[in-house]
Amino acid sequence: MCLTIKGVNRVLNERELIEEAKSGNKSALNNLLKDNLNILKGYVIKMTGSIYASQDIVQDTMLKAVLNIKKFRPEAKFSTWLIKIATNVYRDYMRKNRNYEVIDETLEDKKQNVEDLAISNYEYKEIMNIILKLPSEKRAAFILKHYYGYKYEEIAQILNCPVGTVRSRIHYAVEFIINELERKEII
Amino acid sequence: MRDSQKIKDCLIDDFYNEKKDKNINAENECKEFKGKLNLYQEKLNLLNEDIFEFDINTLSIIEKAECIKKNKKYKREFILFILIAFFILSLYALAILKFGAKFLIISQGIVLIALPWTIIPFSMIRRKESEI
Repeated sequence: MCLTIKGVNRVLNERELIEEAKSGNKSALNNLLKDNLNILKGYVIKMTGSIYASQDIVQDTMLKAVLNIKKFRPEAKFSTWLIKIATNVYRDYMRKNRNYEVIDETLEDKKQNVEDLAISNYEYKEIMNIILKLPSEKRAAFILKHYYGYKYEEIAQILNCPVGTVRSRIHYAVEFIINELERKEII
Repeated sequence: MRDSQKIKDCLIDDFYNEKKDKNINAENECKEFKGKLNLYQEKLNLLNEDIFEFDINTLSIIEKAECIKKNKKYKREFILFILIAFFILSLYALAILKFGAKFLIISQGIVLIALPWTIIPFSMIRRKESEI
């Protein structure tokens, strides 16, 4: 990330950006948020399956992150901290909005074959529905493991629960998804 | 049944590169479940494709946060002002009760004379600091 500090252009790593952001540099904070936006969006979309809910949760998460940036300890990655905040924001959001609209978008026409595209769209929606059927704690653990490759210990820290619980939640989720995929004849 | 579950658990851990149990003996079950895991991986990759985009204006979020911080600061300062004012007025009232109305007149006189001499230099120092 290229950032001008006192007239000097140089590349800053995440830790330096965090230090700059903590000392009140808005540009550094903005870059930090932009760098981690896609990870956060992906996580929240998979958690909610809703475009509107995702937008609200991502905005609230970033707002909380900006308000509490000085409390951030750089032992963990910034994205991990954001995901931890997003998980809490998601819980609050679900308490307030029990019914929300699930994604009804379709994949873009990247494949040549129309039939393949239709199958992919169907499978996308089915897989999203299967993931959404999981209880939120299990879903969060599963998404963090499967899509973000976090270690069990890291997930335990993010979700505030023991490592054994994380392991059993992930195992349950994997078996549940495989069973559902088989039942729906997707695999 | 329990062994079968244990094997599945080990295979899932292995699949996700967590610590591996090397004593898995049920070859057939391993193969079948591993096959399922590979298929499942392939299908779940579909969710990696971004099917929609939504814009998040990070700068406006930072500005909103600045506003919230300012409002919090004003609120904190207002509460502090009220508390200090209440404390000073209470002390004043107690002193009047103890020393009588004469205290009120003398103290008002002192305040009127002394206050400008303290406030003016103090405000000048603050102005200079803010200019720097």
